[in-house]
Formats: sequence, C-alpha cells, structure tokens
Amino acid sequence: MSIKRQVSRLFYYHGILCARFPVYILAGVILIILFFWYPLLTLSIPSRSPYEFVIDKPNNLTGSSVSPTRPWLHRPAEAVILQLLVTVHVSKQASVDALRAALAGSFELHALVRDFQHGNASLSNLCFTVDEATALTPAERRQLPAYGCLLLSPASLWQQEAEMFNSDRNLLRTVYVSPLKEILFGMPWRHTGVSRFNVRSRDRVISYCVTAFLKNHDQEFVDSLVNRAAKLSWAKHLPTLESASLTPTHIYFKDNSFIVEYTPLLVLYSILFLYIYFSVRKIQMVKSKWGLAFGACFTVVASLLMSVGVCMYFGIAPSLNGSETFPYLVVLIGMENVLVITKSVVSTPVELEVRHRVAVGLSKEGWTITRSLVAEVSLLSLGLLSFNTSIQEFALFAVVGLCTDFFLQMFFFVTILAIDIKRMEPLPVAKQRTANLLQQQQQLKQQDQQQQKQQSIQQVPQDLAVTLGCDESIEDNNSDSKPATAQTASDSAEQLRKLHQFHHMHRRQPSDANTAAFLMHSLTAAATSAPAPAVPRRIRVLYYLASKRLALRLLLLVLCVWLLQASGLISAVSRQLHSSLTFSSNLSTTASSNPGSSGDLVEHPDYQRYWPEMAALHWPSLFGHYNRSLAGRYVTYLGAACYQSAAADRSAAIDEETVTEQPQQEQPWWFLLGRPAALHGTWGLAAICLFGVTFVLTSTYALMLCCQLCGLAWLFRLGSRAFDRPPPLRTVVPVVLPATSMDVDLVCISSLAPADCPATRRVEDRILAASSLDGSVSVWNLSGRRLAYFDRQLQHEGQCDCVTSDATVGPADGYGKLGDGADVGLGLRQRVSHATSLSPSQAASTDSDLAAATEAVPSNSGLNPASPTQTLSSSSIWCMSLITNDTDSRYLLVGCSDGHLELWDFTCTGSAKCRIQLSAEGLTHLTVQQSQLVAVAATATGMLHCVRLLLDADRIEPLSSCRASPLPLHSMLIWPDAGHGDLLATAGEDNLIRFFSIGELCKIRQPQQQLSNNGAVGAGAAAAAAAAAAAAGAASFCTVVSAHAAPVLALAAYPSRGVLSGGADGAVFQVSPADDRSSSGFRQKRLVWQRQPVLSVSVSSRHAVCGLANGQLLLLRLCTGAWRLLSCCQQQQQQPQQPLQPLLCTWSPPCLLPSNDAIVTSSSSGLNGLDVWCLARRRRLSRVRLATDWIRSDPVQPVCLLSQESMLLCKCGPCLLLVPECQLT
Amino acid sequence: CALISCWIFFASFIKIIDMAVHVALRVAMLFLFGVGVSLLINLMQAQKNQVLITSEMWLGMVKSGMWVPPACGLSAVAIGLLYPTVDRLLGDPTVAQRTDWSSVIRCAALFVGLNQAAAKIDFMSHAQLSLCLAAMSLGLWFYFDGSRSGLGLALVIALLAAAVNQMMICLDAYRPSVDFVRVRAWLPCIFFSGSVTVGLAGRLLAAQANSATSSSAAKSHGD
Repeated sequence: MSIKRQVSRLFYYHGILCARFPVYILAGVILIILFFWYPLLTLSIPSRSPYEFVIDKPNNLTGSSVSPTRPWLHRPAEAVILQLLVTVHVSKQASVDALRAALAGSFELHALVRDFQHGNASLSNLCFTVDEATALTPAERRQLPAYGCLLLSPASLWQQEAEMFNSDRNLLRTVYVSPLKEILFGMPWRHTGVSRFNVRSRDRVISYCVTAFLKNHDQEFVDSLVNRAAKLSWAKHLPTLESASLTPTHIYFKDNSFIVEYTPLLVLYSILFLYIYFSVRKIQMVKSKWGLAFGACFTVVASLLMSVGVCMYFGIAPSLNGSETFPYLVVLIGMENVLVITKSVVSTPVELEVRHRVAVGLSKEGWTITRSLVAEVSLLSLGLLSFNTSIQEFALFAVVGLCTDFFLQMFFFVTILAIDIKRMEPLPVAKQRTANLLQQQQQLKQQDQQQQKQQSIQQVPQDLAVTLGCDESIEDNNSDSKPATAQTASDSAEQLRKLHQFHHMHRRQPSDANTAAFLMHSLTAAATSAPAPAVPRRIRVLYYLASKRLALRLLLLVLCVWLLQASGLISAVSRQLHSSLTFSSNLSTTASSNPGSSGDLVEHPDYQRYWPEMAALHWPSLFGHYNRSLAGRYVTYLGAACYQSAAADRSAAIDEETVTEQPQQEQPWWFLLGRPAALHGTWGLAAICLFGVTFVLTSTYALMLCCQLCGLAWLFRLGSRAFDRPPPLRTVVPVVLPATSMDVDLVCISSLAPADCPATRRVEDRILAASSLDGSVSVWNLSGRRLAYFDRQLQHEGQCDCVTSDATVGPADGYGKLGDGADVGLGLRQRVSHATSLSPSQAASTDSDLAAATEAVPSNSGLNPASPTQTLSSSSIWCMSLITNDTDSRYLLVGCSDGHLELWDFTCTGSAKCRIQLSAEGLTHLTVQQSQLVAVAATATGMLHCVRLLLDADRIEPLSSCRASPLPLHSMLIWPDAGHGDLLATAGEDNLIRFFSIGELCKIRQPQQQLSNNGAVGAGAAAAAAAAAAAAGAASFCTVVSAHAAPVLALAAYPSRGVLSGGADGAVFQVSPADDRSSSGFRQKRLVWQRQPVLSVSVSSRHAVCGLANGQLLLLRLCTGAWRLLSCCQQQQQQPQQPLQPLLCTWSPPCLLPSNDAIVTSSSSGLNGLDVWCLARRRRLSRVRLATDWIRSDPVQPVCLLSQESMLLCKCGPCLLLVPECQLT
Repeated sequence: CALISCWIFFASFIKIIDMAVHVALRVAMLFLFGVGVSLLINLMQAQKNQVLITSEMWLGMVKSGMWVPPACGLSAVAIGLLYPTVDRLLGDPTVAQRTDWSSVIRCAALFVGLNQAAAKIDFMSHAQLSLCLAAMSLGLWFYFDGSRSGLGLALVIALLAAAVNQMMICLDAYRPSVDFVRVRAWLPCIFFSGSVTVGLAGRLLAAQANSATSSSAAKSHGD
C-alpha cells in the first residue's frame, strides 16, 4: 500500500473520529491550547518596544569629537550604565539550593556598590536618581528602587533584605513570577542559566548582573569600583576584561515620527485584513459562514500564540517584535488548508452520513495537506540555516506555528466543520418518521386498495426518499409489519405532507444541502475566473521543484555557502572589508577573541552579545516604569566587568574540561548555527558540519520523496504557444443527408460486429439513425440512401404492435409546440439537471396542470400516468441505440422522455415492435450490449433498468432495476471485456463512478418481474417502489470509485482496459482495475487537474482528448500503459460565450504520422464550418468551409469519425453531413 | 438597414467604451499600487537611515524625490500591462487562472515583509544581505508565480531597473543618502520581487477585465 493511500486512510479515520466525538475533542483541544498558552502569562511585553537605536563608539570619552552625523552627542547622556557581571559555577552534584548560594553574593555586591566611595565621590551623588515607579503594581514597585539611586540586582527581588531572602522557601518561584526578572538580572533570561526544570546531570553556570545607572561618566570612579569589587572574598576578577577595556558605547534611541513608525504597520495590518477577508469569503455552502470564518481566524491566531508558548516551554523567549512579525506569520501560515478542507467536505455527496462526509472529504485532501505541510516545514527550516538570528527566530516560530496550525486544523477546525455540517442535516427524528411512513406506504401499495388515496400520496415518499437519501431505511424493520388500514393511510399521507412542508419551511436547510453539488457545478462551469483553492498552486510548485531538481541544487548551494561560512572564510573576508564601525563585525571579532583565553575557568556570558537586547527591550521599559522616555536621548553603556564566584561549588571538584564546555550545552542548539565561531576547536566544527550535512540530506530526501510520489511533474511542461496566424481555409463538399424539418437531436451509428472483416464489409452495412426534435427518426446507410423514416407520433396512434402500457399518447407537444429551434441547444445534460432541480417542487403538487406539463418536459416525472385528466404525454426521444445483431433485421431502441422504451424495426416497414414503460421518469441514457442483447437504461433520477431484447418475439423483457445513484447520472457506458465480463460504468452528479457487472445486474431479484404486463394503474410508482427495495441490494454488486470532488461529467472507455473520467472539479482520472487480479478493486490515478470543469472526454486507440469549459483542449497520449499529458491548446481565444463547446471528435488514422494526430471541432471563428487541430503542434492545421447548396446559420458540429470509412460525420441543423477525411488535412 | 447599422455602431461603441473603462480602471489601480509601494519603501528605508529624520527632513526628502512615486506608479502600470501581454504572446494563460485575490494579497504582504527585512534586520555583511534577499525573492516568485515567462520578465525588469539606477547615480542625477553598497545590494532583489507582485496583480486584473467584458458582451448579445 502506498504512502499516499495510508495517509488518506489515516485522515479518513481521523475524520470519523472528529465527527463522532466532537464535544470531547473540542474540550481536549481547548485544554491543550490553554496549556500551551499558559507561559504567555509570564511573557514580558516591553512598553514601547523595540526602540530603534544607533550605536556609537567614540574614540575618546570627552565627547568633543562630535561628528556631524551624530548631532545628538552634543547633549549629555541620559544615563551611564555600568554592569558588574557575576558568573557562578554550579556543579552537577550541587543541590537544588545552588540558586540560593549563587544569588547570595548579589546582596553583598549590591551593598558594596551602593555604599562605595572613592575620594569624595560616592555613588549616592554620582548615581542616576529616580522617583517611584508609578507605572507598576505595588508588588512590582517594591522590587524597583524608589526615591534614590537606580541600582539593580537580583537582590532587589527581596528588597535587598537578606532575611527575606533566607526565609524565602521557594526562590525559583519568586524569581520566575517577577516580570522584572530580566531587568533585575541585567541580562536576557536565556543567558542567566537559571532554568525552572533543573537537569541534575549537567553542570550549570548561573550569571547575573548588578547594574548601576550613573548620572555622568567618571572613569576614575568606575575603575576603583571595579577593582574594589574584585577584592570581595568570593569574587575573582577575570583577567581578560580589565576595567580599561570597558569601552563606552552610546546608544541613541530614535525619536521616530508617527508616520514613519506606524504607516508600514498600518499598511501591513490592512493587507492582513484584506487577505483574511478574501480567504474567508471563499467558505461557502455551510450552515454558518460567520462561525466557520471565525473558526478559521481563531485557528491561525491560536496556533501562533501556541507556537510562542511551545517555544517558551523550551526556553526560547521571543525577541522579535511581535506586532510586526505577526502579520507575516499569519500570511506565511495561511488559511488555505482550512479552505481546502471545507470545500472538500462540503462537496461530498449529501446523502452520506455526516461522519462519512467529513471522513471522505478529509481523506481526499489529506495527502495534499500533509505533503504541503512537509514541504513548507522543510523550506522554512532552510531559514534556520541562514546566518541571521532574526531570520532564524522567525523561521523557528513559523515552523512551530505551522505544526501547531496543522494540529488545530485537524482537531479544532475539522470538528467545528463536522458540527456545522451536522446542523445542516435534517433532523434525525424527522428522518426516522419518514422511514416509518415510507414503510407503511409500501405495505399499502401491496394491498392495492383505495387507489385514489394511494395515488395522491405515493409520489411523495419517492421524492422524499431521494431528497433525504434514506433509501436504505426502507429496507429496515420489515419484520414487524402489520397490515394498515385505509384510515392510517390517509393519516400518514397527511403527516407526510406536513413533514414535507416542514422541510421546505425550514430556513435554508434542504435547499442548501441539496443544491450544494449543483451550485458547485454551476459556479465552476459558469464563472471561469472564479477563485479556487491555492492547493493546486502549491502542488504545482512542488511538481516544478521535482522536475527541475531545483530544491536539490538549492540545498547543495546553501550547504556549500554555509560550510564556507562555517569555516570562517566569509566572516574573515567581510571583517577585512568592513572593519569600520559596523556593530556586527565588531561583535564577531570580540566573540572570536573571547573564548580562547587561557585563564578562564568559567566562560561568562558575553555581554557584547546580550546587551543590544537589553538596550532594545528592557532599558527603555525600565525608564518607562519611571515615567521617563528615552526617545530622542541616548545612554552610555560602559560594559560589564566580569567576576567569577566559587561560592556554589566548593563541595565539588572542578573538572576543567566540563566547565569549559558548559556554555555550549547551555545554549539552545540552533543558536550555534548562527555563530560558528563560538565553537571551540575542530571537533565542534566537525560535529556541526556533520549535523548540517545530515539535516540537509534528510530534508532533500524527504522533499524528493514527496515530489516523486506526486509523479506529475510533467504538468509544467505544457507551455502552449500562440497560434495567431490564420491557418489555410479549405472548401469541402460534403455529402448531405437531409433529415426532417426539425433540427437533428441525436445521432447513433451501428457498431461493426466483430465478425465483420474489411474485405467483405460494404459501405451499406453501416447504419446511421438520427432523431430530430419533433420525435421523428430517419435511418440511412453510409452510401447516403435513406432506409427508413418514421414519425413516432403517427406510429403511436396507428400501428404500434404491442403497446404494453395503456397510456394514451396524444399528438406531439412539448418540443414540437415550442418549435422554431428554441430548444435546439437543450442538450442532454441540461435536461438531466433540469429534471432533478424541478422534481422536488413538482412532486409537491400532484395535480399539476397541463400548462406545466407542456412548459417543461421534466414535469413528466411528476405526472401520474394513470390519472385520467393527464393523457397527454410528450414523448421526446432522449436516447437511442441501434441494434445490429444480424444484417437482415435492424432494430432501433429508443428511450423516451416519459419513461417508455420502444423497439423499432426499420428493415422494411419501419414499425414499432414493442413499447413498454420502464419508469415514470424519462430515460436519459441507453446502452446495449450487442452480444447478449441486454440493454440498460438510466432515468433522470439515477435509476437503472435492465431489459432483455427478445428480437424474435418482438418483445422487451424487463429483467431488473436498481438505483445507481440518488442523483442524476451524467454518463453511462459499457466497458467491454473488463476482467470478468462486460462492466457498466456510470458517472453522475454524486461525484462517484460506479461499476456494475452487467451479468449480475440482470440477476437482481425483483419482487415484481412482470410489472409491464400487469397493466395496472400506477405501474410507474410500483416500479419506483420496487427499485427502492432493490437499492440496498445494488451496493453488493456495484463497485464505487470515489475520485472526483465534483460531479463527474464525462466518461470514456479506452481499449487497454480502463475508463477515463472527467469531472466538474477539473480533474481527469484514469480508473483501471487494481493490479492484483483477484480483487475487484479499482486503481485511480489523476491525470490532469485543471481549473476548468472537464466537459467531455473522448478516446481513440492511443489518444484521449478532454474538452474544458473554457474551450481548452487537452491531449493525452497513451505511452507504455500510462497516460501522459501531451499538450493543451486554446480552442477559442476569447472566453467562450456559450458554456459548452466541447470537443466532439478525435481520431488517429493509421495513415498519418503520430505528429499529425488531429482533432476536429466546430469552427471557432464564426465560420460555418470546421476547425482541424493538430494537438501535437498545438495549432490549427486548417479551417474547413463546407460548401453546401443551402445556407444555414446553424453551426456544424462534428459527431464522430467513421474511421474505417474515412468519413467524418457532422450534424448541421436538420441535416447530417458526411465529410471525407482526406479533404480535411 | 439603417437602423441595424446604427444599432451595430452603437453596440460597438458601447463595447469600446466598456473596454476603455476597464483598461482605465486597471491602469489606475496599478498606478496607485506602484505609488503606494514606493512610498512605503521610502518610509521603511527612512527608518533605516542613520540620520535622524525630523519632519522637515522627511518633507524635504519627499520634495527632492518627488519624481520617484510617479515613476514607480508608471513602471507598475507598464509591468502590470506587460505581464498579461507576454502571457498572451506566449500562449500561457494558465497563470492568471490559478491566481486569485487572496494569493495576490499574500504576495504583496510578503513583498512588504521582504522590504522590512531588508530595512530592519542587521545583516553581517552586504553579501549576506543580498544573498538572503535574492533567496527570498526567488522564493516569492516560486511560490506565487511559478511561470517561466514571469521569471524571465522579472529578471529582465530587475536588471534593467538596476542598470538605470546605476546610470543615474553615475550621471549624478541623484545621490543616495544611505550607504551606497547597501542600496546596490538590495535594489535588484526588491525590483525583482516587486515586479513579480505587480505582475501577479496585473494578470489577475487582466483576467477579470476579460471575463467582465465577455460577460457584458454576452449580455448585450442576449438582449
């Protein structure tokens, strides 16, 4: 089983799970969300962050060298900041109280600094004095100094009182709950080494700072302070950083104007809202649009917050500006998955159970979603390889956000969707009642009493059964049936009507759910520029990746560059180039010069690395707490004097090697990626390189696997070329076969019997039959001789041999009366959809008047044939088929709009041999299996009727009937010689392709075999009931292939055992038997995925051509057992005016080279003729004008190619045209 | 006969007017888009500037660079009209069909993000900056456009614009206030991704105008 199938199966079960226990899952998800949101409580949001700041490192400290680019240096600094950094080594043997030991020194150091005096200068008169921190809560206010020097240390957490510190039972908690902890510790939290979850097995380094804010810079004072602090009993001043090396840095906080600061943000957020608006409005056909839209937005936002929470659980606090990165993260994560899931679930068949709908919809898109998730994650994790910490952090958050978003989509949004769809369902109680009533009706029918009452109600259950999709419920609980009286019958009829009314009155409920598929269809068919989900785009991107090996090359390139960077080459070069005062190069030099120093016992956190974060986030907010603003001011940062304390590890011996490796283990792993220079020696570099190579190779492999599994990289090879030059115009004289006064509607051609060999075959043996809109049929042979012509209306009145239904047939009406080509364009498909869209409303009014009957043909489905007031029956021909079993007698089988099946013999007289009524609805499709003389007819509501043709006895024997689908069929064909005999393939509005074995289809046990012969009133209804009874049985011998996400519009069988199907979702699937011959399963493979509905698929021996709704043609070629998309071309340059101008004909004559494979369509340039296309070369070969001696405005439509006669059959108005093929190309 | 010819003339006139209105709308939208984007980038780069930007200086900058936004607008119009034309010439109308407004907006947002990244993030070196920007803008094309014609067009436009910029600096037409290497590093990438974004919008506008005219034509035909 392929990965793809496994994934979609997983999604299927997941969908079922979500739809079954929505409440529990929602509760669980919300708990998880809250759990991951919890760390956000401790997230300190600096007041106005971050400040843009400018760094200046003056050469001398006098401030005299004020450069013209730094006008702000004229003024004195707002404050001068000095830090005393203390590093405490905590060995792994130390107890939990290591933190206490480590922090104990801060009290001493704090007191020392506070009381320090040098000469006559003391800190109290040099320091930066502050008032009370009014912007804080009282508890927090106590931790900051008030009315005095601004001197910060961890001791401030306990108000510098050692007793309070000693009596504090839970230091860690006190530290963690304080929002000021980073300000007080004087460094970003990840550098302090204090972690909540203490991993005992490692040595740790805890660091903190005592931060003193001075009024102005007094070098002498600072030096003496630094030296004095080194004389503390526990402190050991690290020799690498002498006080002289404390180079002051001016940090200027920009005072940006309002416009400059907020306009980009404003624009960004408006763009974000536009994006959300345009995305969310694509959610359609659900009960509550607003609810789902809110759910989608919540999914994205909650997932981002969760990602922050997850990162904080792992000790990574976000340092980026949240308000700026948030829109980008939202846009990057996107809402496409949500929309795709919604669309997929909504477009599943309505009659399925809710959980199955959700499951099927999920499983259809599951693979796509997973694939795009994997691709996005691996692409974004490339960002981790970039050398910039901001980009790395962004990529990290995006990756985590993608994962949490996926989680929320799968568990939160799908559950919401399931709930929403469940709300759209009819009430289960109503369903149950309907089922019970239906059962009563059935029993009543069997009793056959009180016919009038029965007639008034029997139409209703049938339609309700269709509407509610509860056919199977009819079969249930037959056991406890009791004969019902007439009284209960009328009662139940009353109840049914009420129920029906209730369903119609209920707001949006039935219409929404039932028309979803139609809406979908019409939307996609009509609006060619309608927005569609972006998933195809992503997949295409992936395909393109696969075809170009772009990802592989890109990854290799990135790897090379990164290795170069890791080896320090680039940074060395850049250091050479830009050794000016850019901060970054300075940083890298200090970073690389620091660690190697010999005297270090413990590596202290590099203050050069962390102070920009303090300057950006914490110091401005600290000043903000005292109601001061640093905007437009600058502070001078003197640096940090580093001390090491041995206080905490007196008990344990210091292993030097472990100590030096501490900081690497301390920092998160991705941090190493950004600063390869921070690693010591070759081993660290080698480890990192190894890791990088493994990572890149793994991600490449995963990506390649994805692309290979899609296997559709060829999609991008279609770049069609323009065909602007008009091709040559030819004039061809066709053979004209004049039909009748009305336009030709249907044409069918006798197939060649397999026994026919070309030598003995004569042209006269091929028969053409054409029906016109007024119901007359003409039959020709190919030499142009008309064999027969009969007007069916006349025949019905006179010489019908065995009319088995007693319905009186009136004169022509319907199409005949409408006349004048008003309905010329009414194709079969329109009829079907028309019929089904009308039937529910028609069913409500059993006493439909005559006007309605003549107005619309499909209203026949609402007619009761036995009703004495409605004897008029407009029986247009909706389908027909020629039967040429032997050459002597020729038969024509005709399916009519009133559900009659007629058998005509046209050898000599042209008379109707037999006429039976199969159903109350019109027959839309008819196929005949010539060898066994079995015909299958499909009705407008998806019923299949199987009959045997007894030609000798001039009879039609109905064999069986079953429901193929609750929705109308769009296509039906016989797939010859498929595995175990012939298969019947149907495709319909319910998005499904069904395969029936014809042999078993005929054998369905039917309760009323001779329903045509009993001649009873209400035969149609009885047939419908019987069919409903057989519906459950139908599932056993029918194989359902669920490939499309929209109605399947076209089917075509091709010689090497397979069926191509085209759907309204723009996909063309190849359905072929599964590889293992034992099972009866089918394998489906998507060949094409376009944005346009595929209206037609036609197949020749090696080629298939699909016609799209926008007039595009796609040519597929069969090479080595697989279909490949060869080319596509635009049939019409403009958007098509008529929605339907599909491909009508294809051929691949043996005399032509494969490059000359051509197709013929009706002319696109307004010419009364044909266009011949060479699809391999993507252009028109020629235009053909048909020279006839009469002028008609009707377009010439090619019907099919008679390959052995080398003739192209076209229809044009009331005539058939035969065009010699050799004149076309 | 005269009535019919008059009617035909009237219908064609209406059609022409209709098309003209659509084209004018497209042009106006593209122009506004270009102007807005140029102003936005100016703002972002102004944030990056080492100099403090007071309000007078801001006004002065706009005054001195008054020609920039209209030029950007005009080039946006040109690019937005060029993309569908090239598509039509190359016969690949599928890109516009795959596009919708939400993806255009996504692309625009990421384009703004690109600018912001270029303006705000401190890169170690100019090489790194341009490398990152190039990768990001290629990714932008890859994710949203994906067509070869789009890639070629964007490349050509980026190179052309960078060359024009270089020439103007050489001719001393204007002096970049920011340090020059940086400008040279990010400018082609910004042009590239900008042309991808504008091209996407132009394609979608063209497709919508097409469908609008055809539907209106169908309506008039039906009447």
